[in-house]
Order: sequence, then structure tokens, then C-alpha cells
Amino acid sequence: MSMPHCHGAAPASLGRTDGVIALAGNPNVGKSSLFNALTGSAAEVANYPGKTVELGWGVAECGGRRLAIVDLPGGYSLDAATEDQRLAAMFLRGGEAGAVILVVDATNLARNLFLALQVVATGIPAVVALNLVDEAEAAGKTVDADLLSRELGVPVVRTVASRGEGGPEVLRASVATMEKGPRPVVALGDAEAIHGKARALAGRAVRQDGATRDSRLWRWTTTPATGLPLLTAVLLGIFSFVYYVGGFLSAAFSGAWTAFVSPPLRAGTFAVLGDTVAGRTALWGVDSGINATLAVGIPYVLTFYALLAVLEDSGYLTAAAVLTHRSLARLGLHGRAAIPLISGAGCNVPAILGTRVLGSRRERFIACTLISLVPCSARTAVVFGAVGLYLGPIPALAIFAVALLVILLTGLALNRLLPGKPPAFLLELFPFRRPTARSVAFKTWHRFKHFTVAAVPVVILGSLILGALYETGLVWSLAGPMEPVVGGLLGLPAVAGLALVFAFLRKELALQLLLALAMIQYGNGMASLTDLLTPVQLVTYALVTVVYVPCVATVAALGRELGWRRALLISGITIALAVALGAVAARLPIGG
Amino acid sequence: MSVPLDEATGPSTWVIERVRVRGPLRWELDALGLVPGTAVRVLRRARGHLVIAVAEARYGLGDEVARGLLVRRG
Repeated sequence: MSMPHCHGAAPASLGRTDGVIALAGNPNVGKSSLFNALTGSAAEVANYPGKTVELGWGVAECGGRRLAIVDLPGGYSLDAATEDQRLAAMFLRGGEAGAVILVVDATNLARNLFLALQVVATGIPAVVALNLVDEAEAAGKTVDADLLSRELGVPVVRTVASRGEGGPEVLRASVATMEKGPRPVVALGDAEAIHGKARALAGRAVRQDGATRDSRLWRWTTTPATGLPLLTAVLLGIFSFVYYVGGFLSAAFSGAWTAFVSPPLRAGTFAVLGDTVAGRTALWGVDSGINATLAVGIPYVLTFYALLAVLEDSGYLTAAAVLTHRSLARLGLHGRAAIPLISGAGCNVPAILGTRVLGSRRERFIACTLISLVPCSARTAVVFGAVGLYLGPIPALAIFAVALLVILLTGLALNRLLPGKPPAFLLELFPFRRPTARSVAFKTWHRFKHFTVAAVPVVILGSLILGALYETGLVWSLAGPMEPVVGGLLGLPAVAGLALVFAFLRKELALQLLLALAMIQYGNGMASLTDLLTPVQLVTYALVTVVYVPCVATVAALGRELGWRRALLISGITIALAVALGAVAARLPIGG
Repeated sequence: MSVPLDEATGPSTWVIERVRVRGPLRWELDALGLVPGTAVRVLRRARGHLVIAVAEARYGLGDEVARGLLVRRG
């Protein structure tokens, strides 16, 4: 039988391919590590047509053939409850892949065989990658791959994906099975019957030497007495790492841009467009815009993604979800929401995309609203740059405490007001594993690339619009209509209102822009924020910046994930909260 | 005699006899192997949830989910 060509599901950007091979399996079984081993780091993410769920795509070469490899979302069953798992099931049942590589955890074979039996029964050409055999052997388990292969009726290849072992063999086996074409569909019975078969098969295939070891780490991390201090330490560790390492990278990236790229870019732009409104506006976009991204956005997001990958691969995040479940349930959320909520402290955009793991639209709306209120790294920089620098760390931390309180109260209110019930809590606690540098680097780079491609054009466009308004003087005409809110309610000077409006394009510019606008209006004597704002105004300004609509990229993510009506509703909620909090802060008796 | 898992006290190992849950949650329980005949070890009880082990896997499940699993002594 000849090889199928260019299945419609593969993105066109991969070029011509000789077939699609899907990677499927339970969550946390090393599927992404195998994907990395098969495709190298040249992965890309593409939406499935008509769906918001993104799939990782890459290309692998095998025997002169160019194969599209797709990394399907991890799932336990073909009868799935969440959107991403439903997509994986649809992909496999719809015949969009020429073959599937089922990644199976050798340390937990019985549970993994449930999905394997379901997929094999669909008749799709399949190969089992028996992964984590090193961990199984370390735990005294030997899995008989030949017996497994005979009983499943598909090839079984032993792999240690984190080290790339078994990758070429599993790819060759999947090409061979793809060439043979589909097998007959088999009726399996209900879930009880399939689990019975899976347990019996695992019982025959696995030999256990000695007693099984039981890690105590899960107990320490999920018991409040030990788990809460550990969670606090982890969150403080994340915060410190992102702040200090991100700060170091920020200075390095921005310094290099200013020293080596900015001067020739300015000279080139003025040579072509002259020192005109058009020339200066262009520089706002390509010079200041990219420099601001290098100074604030990219360093902090990059460091946060690296930490997130370490936490994910270590298995800690599911323990944190169990620990926080009870609190999150009061906000109408599943313990799984802890992961995107925490990741929102790096950048709200990927955190909002991460809410796809949540089951209901109600839960996703609540989670997205709360994530929009989580101070991201850009807003954190504003708080430290405005309040921390001029008033000290205690007022800065007080602003974060207020933000946390707002998040809790908003969650409680939404859970009470929205129709429906909080989701039932059911979650696998992943075993603790030592993260590998290879996997962490791959995940970090993969997410970072995706973020950069999505965010940088928005920042450049926003900077161009901002620059045009600034260079033409139109920016000042906005001050009048905003006066009742900015001056009346918030007690801020008009330039602060303008800076808040434009910080919607880029929150990290809220400070620099405020100073720049103040210098234009009041002269160069405005060298410091304290020349323009009193302490109470500084606190008000920082608080409003933290709470109101995160940024245009976040709103775009909300629109894509929840629809534009809900995105606008969330934006409206955050603006109302910001104005209310700002009005209260403006009337606080803060000295100065 | 069977009791809901959230009320099961005494020995730590139980066998699921019946599942009183419908809809998407039932699919999740099915997928994770929380089906009749499965042996469940209760590892820890906390306010609002349990941590259980099924073969090599550990799960956190809320009391409302545990209430839907009727178990007998294993």
C-alpha cells in the first residue's frame, strides 16, 4: 500500500509531507519529550481548524520520507470531558492521522492501557512507545514488551524519551504500520470491561521484583501544615527569580539594543523619512517598541516560562492544585485552575490560554476574569518602579495584597452570581520527577517563541499608534473628556489619565510614558515621578494600573478564548474595579 | 454493605461497588479507572477532599465526588 500524502490536518507551513503521525497518551507520560526527540526543537503551534485548541506540529525524517508529527493534548480516554481532550479523541477517530504513536507509562501500565486499548480498537495503525522503562526498572518492574505486543496486536517499542532513546525505532515502526493501513475495528464493551482487560493484561506483562516504593513527597506537598509553607516558598522563589534574573536579562537585552541597534536604526529611518512626524512615528514602533519589549516583556516572560516548565516537569503543580482545591472551590474553580492562575503572574496571555484545561464555560469565565486581575510581570514592574522605588517595599507589597483581595472577592462574587455549580474535584497527582534540562529548554523555547510571535507585532502596532498620536499632538485632546474620572474621582493630573489610556497598549510603559508626557507638559524639571505625583497619587496610579484591563494582547486572548462579548465584559469589570479602588486610594491619608 | 467513599472509615482499602454519578464526571471517573470492581486505597483524608491510590496512580478527589462512589471493604 502506498503512503498517504499531505493529510489536510497538517498546517501548510510544514510544507509537503508524506503522512501525519499523531502522538497520543495520558498526561505526563513523556509525550512531549518524545515529540521533541522525534522532531528536534523546530516545533510550531497551530490551531485545529474551527477550534481554539492548539496542537504542536513538527517534521521528522524517516527512510527518506518527510512526516508531519502532531502532539495531541494528553488524555485518559476517547470519551473525554474537556475541550482539548475531545479534540484529541476527534483527531484519532476521524482518521486524520496515518498512524498513532501511543505513549504509555511503564510505571503505571494498567491505567495507561485503558486508552491504548480504546485507540487500538478504532483500527487506526498504531505503535506503542513503552516509555519511562528506566523508572519502571528502578522501581523493580520489568515489562514484557513482546507479550504486550502480541496481546495488543501492535508493535511495542521501549523508550526513554527524556534521553531520546528509542525515538528512531518507534518512528520506523510507525512508518511500517502506516504502510500496512488500517486494521479492523474491534468492539470493546464498557469502561468496566476495558479496565478489566487492561488490568489483566498489565498483570501478565509486568513482573514486580520486591516491594513497591512509596514516595512521601506527595504527602508533604499536599498536607496544609507542610504544603502551605512550601507553596509560599515556591511562589516567593518564582517572584524573586523572575524579578532578579528577569531584571538582569532586561538590562542586558535593552543595553545591547540601545548600544548597537538603535543608533543605525535612527540614522536609517531619518535618512529615508527625514526628521518628520512620519519618521519619528516610525521610530516609536521599530525602535522604542522593540526596545520596550526587550526591556520589560521578553526577559520576564522568558524567565517565568523556564520556571513554569521546571514546576510542571517536577510534578509539583498537581500537588499545589490538591492543596489549593478547597480555597479555589469557593471561587467556583477546580484545583486545576491553580496552574494558570499562578502562571498569570508571568504573563496573562499564556495563562488565559491555559484555562482550556478547565471543563465548563462558567469556570473558564471565572478563571479568565481572575487571571486578568493577577498582576503580570509588566504590572509588577510598574508597582516596583513607582511605589517600591519612591515609597519603599511595604507600600508596594500592600498593593499586591490589595490585588489579591480583589481577586478573592471577585471570585466569591462571580461564583455566587453566575448560574451553575463549581466543578467537582478530581485530579491525578503526578509522581515527582527530576526535570531534565532538555525538556525544560524545549518547553520554554516553544512557549516563548509562540508568545513572541503573538505579542511583538501587537506591541509594534500599538507603539506606532501611540507615536502617531503623540507626534501629531492629538494625544492632548483626550485629556478633557477624561477629566471627571481622572481628576475628579482619582485625583490624578490629566497626563496620568493619558498615560493610563496608552498603557492599555503596553502596561510596562505606564511609567516611562507618564514621565515623557509630564516633561512635555510641564518641562524638563519633571525628572522624577515624585516631581509630578504626591505619595497618595503614586499609590492611586499604581493601583489603577494593576487592576484595570491588563493590555491589548490579553484582551485579544480573552476574545479568542471566550468570545468578544465576554472579553468586553471582563474588561468592563476590571475598569470598574480599578476606578472604584483608585477613588478609595485617592482619599487615603497617605503622607507627603 | 456499601457506603459512600467519603464516609468510609476504618481499613484503608476499599472496592468500588457502584458509581452514582452521571454525565462528564462519570466519563472522567471511567477514564481514570474508578469503576466497579476497582480496589481503592485511601491515603489521606482532608477537609473537603481525599487522596486515594488506584494501583500505581494517586488521585485527589473532592468529597462530592467521593460521595458518588459506593464502596465495600476490600
